[in-house]
This record gives sequence, structure tokens and C-alpha cells, in this order.
Amino acid sequence: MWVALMSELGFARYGAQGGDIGARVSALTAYEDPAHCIGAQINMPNSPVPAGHPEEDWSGEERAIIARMREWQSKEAAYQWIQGTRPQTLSYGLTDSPAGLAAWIVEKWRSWSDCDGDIERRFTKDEILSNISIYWFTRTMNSATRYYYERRQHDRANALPAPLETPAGFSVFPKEIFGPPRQWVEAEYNVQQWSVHDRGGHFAAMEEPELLVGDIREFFRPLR
Amino acid sequence: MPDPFRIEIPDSEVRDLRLRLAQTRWPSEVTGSGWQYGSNRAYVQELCEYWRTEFDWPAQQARLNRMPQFTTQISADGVEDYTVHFVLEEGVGPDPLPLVFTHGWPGSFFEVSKILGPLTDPGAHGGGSGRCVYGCCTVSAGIRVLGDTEQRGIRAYAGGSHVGGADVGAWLRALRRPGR
Repeated sequence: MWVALMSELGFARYGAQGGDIGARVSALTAYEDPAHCIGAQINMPNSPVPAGHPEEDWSGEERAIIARMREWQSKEAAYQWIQGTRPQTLSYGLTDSPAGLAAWIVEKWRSWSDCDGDIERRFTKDEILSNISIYWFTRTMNSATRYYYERRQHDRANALPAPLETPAGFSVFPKEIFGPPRQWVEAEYNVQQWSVHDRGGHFAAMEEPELLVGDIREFFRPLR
Repeated sequence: MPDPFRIEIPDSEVRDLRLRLAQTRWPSEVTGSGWQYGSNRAYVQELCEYWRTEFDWPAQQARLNRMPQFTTQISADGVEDYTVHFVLEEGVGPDPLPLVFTHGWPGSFFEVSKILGPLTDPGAHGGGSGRCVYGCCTVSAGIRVLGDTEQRGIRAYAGGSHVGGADVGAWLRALRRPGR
């Protein structure tokens, strides 16, 4: 769809940027439109263990990353299961109760950001509630969570269909949910930038806008 | 071509929100459990009280509307006339590079608000004289005030209709459909 949008807007050359689901969308945009999309800058690398890299060959660092990911799946990922299996059932409560909606969203913004448990070290109440209000007033939590259902039905895991030749850049933030090592990412991407930061989490554009803007500009500068 | 768009939530919706917040039935909570079992009740109550009594939606809406927004209908890959909402800010300076920024869940186009200015007008944000980025569209189709939530003509797999958050599933699958 973004390919169609950029075409309609008359943009013959463009870049893509995103984290979270936007990371995947940006990668797929580059993958699908190599003639026009000149690069993808991503702030949540999420490449899986490369094919042909069996467990017995994993390094200590790789084992630690996988262990952390499995722990996260076990302790933090229930939302993916309910949103991925019965989003409609969930939607009645979240569409009818602002307190329920706020509790559902704010838990994620707190646990995924670099805030040491105090969400307001990272975001003001006005920022937290502006985002929640957009979901509330537009009644779109249902269609938003449905993404997880559709992904389970139609999409493979995080792996790209094939390695992406278009240049890709990555911003790595310490409190990101998942942190694959660079070599896994290089198995899928033409990595032209690997920028590791000492602060920041999942919501880079809100948490560390200056660092992210710096990375975006640095990545695209030689490509334009 | 894209149509200009502004968020205009009716006052009645804001009143309804406040009424619901005032009438919240709060759950119990294990004493002293913090966030261990999920969102901490005291914090959610504090946040909701602020939402009800101090949060100034018209002011926040005006802030959001400072970002130039548009809607357009896109047909691609079997998804017909899908209305998308996006921010499009023109870059300052010669030959700006278009950049499409895509947010995730549970975020919204609000997430682009802090980087939009520095990307599109670096000179005004201490970024030196580098070349800027044009646009910076963001995902998040159709703020609901656009109209129906049940948009016709979208295949079942395309997910819902309007998107505040991450209904990028529709676009995602559209991108991935073979034979495009």
C-alpha cells in the first residue's frame, strides 16, 4: 500500500523508516519496490536465527539472546496471543471502557521504554493520553489488534521472503524488546548502518528523537 | 489526489469520555503488587483522573492538527479504495528526499510528532544545513471522524477499516500479494 501511496504522491525515489510493525513494513516496502525505495532505516532489528545455523553452533551471546527472547515470550507476550486469536472478544471491553483501554496500552509503553519502571521519566501524561485518545475517539483498538490475527493467518514469522539487496540501516536501542546480533541481521539485509545507542527503548521516535533523526539522516545521506 | 484532513472530535465525544471515566468500576488488586500482575491500579487511576479532569483534548487536537494531514483512497493488490490517513510535511530546502515513516502497535501517527520537524527542516532544529527529508508520511489510516468504520470493498483479510493504530496488516498483506 505504501508503494501505491508513494506512487500516487509522485515520489519516484523515497526511503522507508520504522520500528515495531513499522520495521517489517519498511523492510517489505523496500523488498517490494526496489526500483523506487532507496533504503530502509529500521529501529527494531528482528531477524531470526539464520537458516543453516543450528543450535549446537550458537555462541554464548546467541544463546543468551534466545534465552531472553523465550523468557519474553513466556512472561510478556500474552497480548500477542489474545490479539492474534480472539481480537473481537477483547475489543468489547477496550472499546467501551477508557480505563480498560488505558491500562492495556500504558502497560506496553511502560515496559517497552527505557524508563526503569517509571513511565513518566519518558513520557508526559499528555503524551501518553494523546496516543490513547487517538485509539479511544477513533474506536480503532479493534482494527489495530486485528493486525495480530491477520498476521497469524497470512504472514510468516519475521523472516523476509529472501535477502534484501536494498541498503538497510539499523538503530539499536538497549531497552528494545528483541536484540538479534548483527550477524543474524546481515543474513537478511544489506546492512549499511549499525548504530548502537546507550539509551532508549522500543519507542525510539518518542523516546530518543534526536538519536533517531541523526541515524536517519546519516543513513540516507550517501544514498540520495 | 489527497484531500486535506483535520481531526475534529465532537465535544459530545469528549463529554462521553469524561462520563465513562467518572463511572469506572475499578478492579481489586493484590496489595503491594506494583506492576507484577499487570498495570498498576494506582497508576491507572492517577492517569484516568488526569484524563478526566486535566487533559485538554482540544489543545492536544490542535497540536496534532499542526501536522499537515491528508487522506486518500488507495487501491492495490485486491484492496479497493482503502482510505488511508497520513501526515505529509514538505521539506525545507532543495531536493528533499521523501521518507515514509511507519509506526507500530500500540502507537499511532502521534509517534512522528517529535521527529517530523527535525527531519523536514533540519536548519531550524539545530541540524545544520544538511538536506532535509520531504514528507514523512506516517501510517495510520482513517481517523474515525472520517466516517464509517466498516468500509466497504475491503476483502476480509484486509482487516478492519479505519486505523488509529497498527492496522498495517492490510497494507502489509497488500504489499505481499503476488502478481503486483
